[in-house]
Amino acid sequence: MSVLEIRNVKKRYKNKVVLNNISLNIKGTYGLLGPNGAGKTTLMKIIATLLPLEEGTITFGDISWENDQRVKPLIGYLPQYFSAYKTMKVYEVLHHFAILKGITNKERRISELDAVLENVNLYEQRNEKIKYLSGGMIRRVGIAQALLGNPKIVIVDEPTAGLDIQERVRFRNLLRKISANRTIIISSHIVEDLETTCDYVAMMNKGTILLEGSRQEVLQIVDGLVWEKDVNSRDLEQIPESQIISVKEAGDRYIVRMLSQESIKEAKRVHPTLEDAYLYMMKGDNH
Amino acid sequence: MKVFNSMNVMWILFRRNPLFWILLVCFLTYVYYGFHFYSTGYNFSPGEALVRMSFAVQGGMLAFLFFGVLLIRLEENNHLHDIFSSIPKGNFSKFIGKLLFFFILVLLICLFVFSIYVFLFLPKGISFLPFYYDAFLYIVLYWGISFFLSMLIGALLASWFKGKIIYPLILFVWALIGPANSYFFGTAASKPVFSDFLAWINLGEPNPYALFNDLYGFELSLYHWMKRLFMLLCISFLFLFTHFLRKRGNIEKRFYMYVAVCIGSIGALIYYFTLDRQIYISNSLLAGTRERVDETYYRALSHENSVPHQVIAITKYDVHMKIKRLVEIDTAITIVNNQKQPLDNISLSLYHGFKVIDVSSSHKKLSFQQKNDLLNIQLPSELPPKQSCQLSISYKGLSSPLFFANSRAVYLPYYFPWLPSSNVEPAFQYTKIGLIRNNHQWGNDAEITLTYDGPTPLYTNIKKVGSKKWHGRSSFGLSVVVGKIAEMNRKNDGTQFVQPMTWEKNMYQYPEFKERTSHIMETISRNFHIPYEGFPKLVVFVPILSINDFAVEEYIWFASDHLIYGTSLQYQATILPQDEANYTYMLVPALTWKYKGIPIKDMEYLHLFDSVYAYVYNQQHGIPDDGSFLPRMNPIKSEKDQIKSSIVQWIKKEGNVEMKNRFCQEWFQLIESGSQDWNELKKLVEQYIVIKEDL
Repeated sequence: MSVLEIRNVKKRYKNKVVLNNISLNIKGTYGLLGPNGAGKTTLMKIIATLLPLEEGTITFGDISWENDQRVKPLIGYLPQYFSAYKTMKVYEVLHHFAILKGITNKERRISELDAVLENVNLYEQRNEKIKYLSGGMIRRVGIAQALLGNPKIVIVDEPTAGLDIQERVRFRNLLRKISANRTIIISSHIVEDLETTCDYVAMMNKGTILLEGSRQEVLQIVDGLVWEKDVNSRDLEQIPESQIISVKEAGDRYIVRMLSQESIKEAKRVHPTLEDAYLYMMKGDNH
Repeated sequence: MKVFNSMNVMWILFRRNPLFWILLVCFLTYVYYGFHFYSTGYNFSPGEALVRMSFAVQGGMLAFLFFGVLLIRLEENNHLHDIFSSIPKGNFSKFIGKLLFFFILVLLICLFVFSIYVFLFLPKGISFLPFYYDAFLYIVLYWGISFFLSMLIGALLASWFKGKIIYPLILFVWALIGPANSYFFGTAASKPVFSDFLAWINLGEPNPYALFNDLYGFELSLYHWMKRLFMLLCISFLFLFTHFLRKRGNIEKRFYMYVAVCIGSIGALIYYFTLDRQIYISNSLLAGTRERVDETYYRALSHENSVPHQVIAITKYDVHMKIKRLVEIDTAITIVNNQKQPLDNISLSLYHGFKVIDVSSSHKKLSFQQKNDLLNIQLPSELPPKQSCQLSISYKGLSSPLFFANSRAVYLPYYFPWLPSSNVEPAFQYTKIGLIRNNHQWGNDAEITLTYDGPTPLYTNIKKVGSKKWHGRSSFGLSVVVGKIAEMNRKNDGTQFVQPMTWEKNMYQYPEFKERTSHIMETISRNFHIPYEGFPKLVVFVPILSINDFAVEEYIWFASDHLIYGTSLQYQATILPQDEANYTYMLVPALTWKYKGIPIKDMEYLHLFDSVYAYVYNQQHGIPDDGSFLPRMNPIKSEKDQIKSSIVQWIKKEGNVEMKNRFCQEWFQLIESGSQDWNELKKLVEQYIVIKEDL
């Protein structure tokens, strides 16, 4: 499968640099992690051809982003906020997208629509009006439209924004399911979204890439640096804020997860997660 | 397919929105009852039914302005814009699909409105298809295109302004571009510059406060189509410019081609708008309103009374007339010197709106001077008495707004100097009772050949001899009438009765009209020894009055070969006025001094004769007449008033009809002899009655 190569992409809004010399190799299921305002959505929009590529290059195989008419057929895009015409039925909405995406052959269109509806588990709801769907279902309609035309690259911006926990889990599973044989780019500031779905991750902050690699490579950054300690409330106050990753209540005691280069007394070293790596990188970048 | 599917999506969204159906039903109900009002009883007027529906148009425009906002906001509100942008030609297909939807919606609304119109008027006796064709064009131009442009303006504004600010903005634009815009802006609308602007930007009926002119028909001049095309191009340009600002650096070459076409077309149309043309303007807020243009001109001219004295006759006219944007006429005339002295220059009357380009004789250019309605030509050599010479005169320009001649309608009667006339007087004169039309009948027999290129069908007093060619003789002049008129008399009684297609219902009165007219003709012929050549072969009954509607002298113009019977603009014109007596008052001047070509020296004097004789006629023939058309003489301030008062008082007394008739005969002899002198009239009166001297 081809790699989406991003080289030295820059973007300015007026005088503010929003993306600074971004270079990435995007393949498989790819997560773009970063806080709000890191430049993720801008980068996604450039990849989705919604914003012009002003500086740098993007290629996918022999296709260059200089000619966006060649790029668009490759792309399936689900923006951060998605709704659809509320008085239309799920099938009607997807049918409209299918035609806009150039699936003009009726038989092919019907079979593809059925397949996509099955895939996102909305076949039963195909005749429901959008206004009667839950937030998670609407999100699934969004991913369904992105999958129509079988695009090679699917871009999903903040996939679980506004969803409850159950719907988040379901949607992450869906992303996992559809990732076969295509590149999926998921941008999020929610680490769990990427942890469970992505093979590759890049971390962004303030318009620059802090880190890129496979999930294992990313975790290696903090391998041996993550500690957990069982403390009471008085001891908790003694721990420097900068070391703490998370604090979990356990009865009248607390399990504190910490980052440290050196071993911590009475703490046990634990297996790192993506969140540990993300926080480690963010702290490093912010200091 | 993408476009049609996008259109279909719009249809699904609209048809599932109850508000759409409520609006549509309310709109069509309003239209139905509006049309119904004008299709029944005294309000019957097929023209008014459309012209008077400005509030329906205004309402429709508001709805479509909001539809325009919806066109842009629909995807924005549903966060779909970005997705469509990521699909090849996604947004473009959506945009064109939505435009197509609104286009078809507008077209369907036009068809619905037109169907209601036909449904209500066809059974009521309006059967002329060309009228319905115009009605459809009117609905398309002033309803459909206005709705579509409103939608585009709404979309354009919505693409510029985010948030709720769009709604007050839309309301402001709506007040500005609708046919009732001067109504919304109140007194500010009467300021000249603003009123011109409001008239120009108005997308609805251009003369919303004027009565429908059944002769002219709907104002469907090319100018109004071009105005809307201009607006469409401006809106398109602004859309392209907005697109350019948003997509800077990522613009296809085709885009620049569209912009170039747009700018080129806008430039061409701006040039087009600067050209002279005649359109129908009847709006009291505008300086160019047809009721005021000539009044202003001739009021300023009223002190210039020098009319050259000459005795010439034009015995032959070969007229090539083309009516497009301007009236263009090339005419060859034969002039005979009927005076005892040789002539080295001649004066002809020609309405000042026609600018003479060239005068020649035997291919030799002659010098000429055109001042107001007078054309003075220097002859190549002295023209001896009884000798003739040929002149070619080319001129073009605009006719009087009261005698329009454009691609829609033509009203150029014999009594208006649209052809060079030896009857040298201004076309109008401004008198105490306002602007009156001077009579420019020729007074000698002339051979006429007319080649005509302009709107059709053309009605004239000479015979058609070929395609676009007419030939004949007349001693009064040439009348040319084109408009929403048709020949209606199907009895083949030797008279071609022509009137507006919208007045068809009144034909039941035609036999009575003919009988009464013939009777008055016979009586006047006998009384005043005026030999008429029988009932005219052509009668044109048209609304020609917008000025001096109370002056009975303006209504009927009687030539030996045709009769022009005018009426004011009104809903349902009956051939005979409701007040039976009134018709006599209108016909008397036409059959007497106007027929004889007697120039107006004192309109008050002639008007007194008209009304006095008409009253006597009515008395003599038992036609109820309360004398309300006779001059009222309170208070008496001058000897003239005293004379008038004495005559009126005497005339109104019962009996002595024969004597009164004789008095009128002698009075007409005075007029025929060229006198319009009050002292001479006083002497005549004294022979019949005693004038009280107690002023």
